[in-house]
Amino acid sequence: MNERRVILKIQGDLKTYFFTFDGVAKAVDGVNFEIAEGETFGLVGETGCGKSVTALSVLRLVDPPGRIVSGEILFEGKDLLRMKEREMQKVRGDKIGMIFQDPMSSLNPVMTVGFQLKESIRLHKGLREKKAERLAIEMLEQVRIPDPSKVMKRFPHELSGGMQQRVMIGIALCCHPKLIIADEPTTALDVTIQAQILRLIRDLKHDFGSSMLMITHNLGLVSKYCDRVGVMYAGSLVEVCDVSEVFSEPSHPYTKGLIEAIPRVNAERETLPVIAGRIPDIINPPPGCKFHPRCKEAGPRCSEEKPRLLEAKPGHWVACVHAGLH
Amino acid sequence: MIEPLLSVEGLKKYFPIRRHFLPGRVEFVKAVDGVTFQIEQGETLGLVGESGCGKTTVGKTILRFEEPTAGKVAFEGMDLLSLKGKELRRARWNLQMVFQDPFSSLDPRWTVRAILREPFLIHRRAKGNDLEKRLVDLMEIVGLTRRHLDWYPHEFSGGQRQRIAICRALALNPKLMILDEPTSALDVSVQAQILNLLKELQREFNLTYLFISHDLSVIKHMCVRVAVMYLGEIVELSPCRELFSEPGHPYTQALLSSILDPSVQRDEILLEGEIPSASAPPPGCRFHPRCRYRKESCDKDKPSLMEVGKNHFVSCFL
Repeated sequence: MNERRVILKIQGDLKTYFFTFDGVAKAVDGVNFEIAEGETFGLVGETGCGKSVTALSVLRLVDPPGRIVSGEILFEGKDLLRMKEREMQKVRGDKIGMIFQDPMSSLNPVMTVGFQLKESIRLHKGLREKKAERLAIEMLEQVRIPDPSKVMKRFPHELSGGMQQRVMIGIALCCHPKLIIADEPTTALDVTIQAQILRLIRDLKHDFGSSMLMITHNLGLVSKYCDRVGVMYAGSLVEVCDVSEVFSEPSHPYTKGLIEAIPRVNAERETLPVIAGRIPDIINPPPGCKFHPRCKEAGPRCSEEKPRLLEAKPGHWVACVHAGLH
Repeated sequence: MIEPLLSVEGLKKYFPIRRHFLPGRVEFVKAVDGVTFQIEQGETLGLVGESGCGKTTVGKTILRFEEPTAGKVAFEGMDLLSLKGKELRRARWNLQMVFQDPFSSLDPRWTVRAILREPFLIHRRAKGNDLEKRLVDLMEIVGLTRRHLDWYPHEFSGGQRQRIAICRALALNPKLMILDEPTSALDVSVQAQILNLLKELQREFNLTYLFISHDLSVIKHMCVRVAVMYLGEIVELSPCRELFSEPGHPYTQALLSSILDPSVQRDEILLEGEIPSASAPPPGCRFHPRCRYRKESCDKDKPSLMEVGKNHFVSCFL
């Protein structure tokens, strides 16, 4: 990993807290990872585990009452958290492109597709109307939208979900970003369309030589489209490793449980193994390891000691006291 | 042959849309266009397809939440579509539905007790102490406790809410439950809990399920037989195992290839284009514009379900 250039490095325990009336919700509570150039890093976890907030933190788009409390986000060696807002605006959409989950609510319903595409191109490339128009049409061709010059004049509601997501991808990638952040890019889509969109994102990422942070709850998707994966639970990373290893030798009990719980096509099981209990309250998380109340392997140490993410073997990081590292 | 518990024949549901300002020129969305299948006592039939293919509408028309345009629905030999008023209500004791989204299918201003009491009061099945006892029993069956009865839906997690929705459907001891995407709003670990619960209930109460889902791995886990729908029609009907080992219809093959299961490596079949509108379906075979194997005749002649193996029906010319 060291020989390859790192494009994004989150270090020094990234913490994003939401200061609500009920208390401090620790949405992201000590996350560190890095993404190498050209790599696709998958961030998986269940609802509310903080994976989306991690992505928003990278772009500094966390709204009050949320605030990034600590950590460093190094993008191409520069700390995004120390940048002025003006500099940050140049990074967003230009060097880092974001694809959101729900295209219908992320596109502006009262602006044409063309306007929204050109907006980004004009702002970041400083191009005039005509050139921007040409570039926008080119982009729509690249995301394989049939008849792009017509689609430019359409409003988002006139397009199907798959087409809307293609437009979103077009907007996110029109400046050939170094890093693509895709937050559940296909959750709102049908399976056959999902396959088309994922293939498209992968191809374009390859063409532009970008890296990608792919956020998803679907481990199957990770297995097919990601190089490395980080598993999040209640605001922290519990395991980071190569995709092939996460399925063949998951180390953290949560990862094991998660993989076991997926219904499999080629397995005949009467009952699915489940993880007992529920995800913890992030305002008052359990002490020690946050997973210990649900963990099958929990011992007395687990409720006292907070495990850190340590390297169990080259490239495979686990946060569990039973991994034999603490 | 034993009589099937539920038999659906030539079911059609067209929704009118008025595109034209002149009266009399009404177009239709053909949500369900001639669907035929049977479900036997104790089995689980899966209904798979993508959004807009009409799978939910099939479920709703069986219960007559929507009045079908044409077709026959028979439950234990009794024609459901001719029933009215009291008789229809009586028939619904046996047929219940669990909806996809437990956040919108439970009234936020009612306590769980009120939600669960409603079926008993409507159908005058129990009251007073009997009712209370039954409610506590029901809660325990789905893994909740007595004290949860006084809570409001927002106090529960998604999984628990779905348990309450299942509880409500179970209240009157139905014979057939229509499960409309019961786990697609839930996380995997919670999904596993709900799927296990559904299987347990099926064994315990000898329930029959019509399981509607777009997730093929869930279908594989739950079902005995599967019907694949595309644009309002069933394109393949087959025992579950065969469907996965030898899919007959090109659409089924594409669906199977899109399963994101880390333990299977299949060649990916990428479908071209998108699902056509149900108000103007393509002529001939509805799948032909996206089909890899289309021949010239596919846009003219309409295929019908033909038996290709034991109990395995495919609607394709190949």
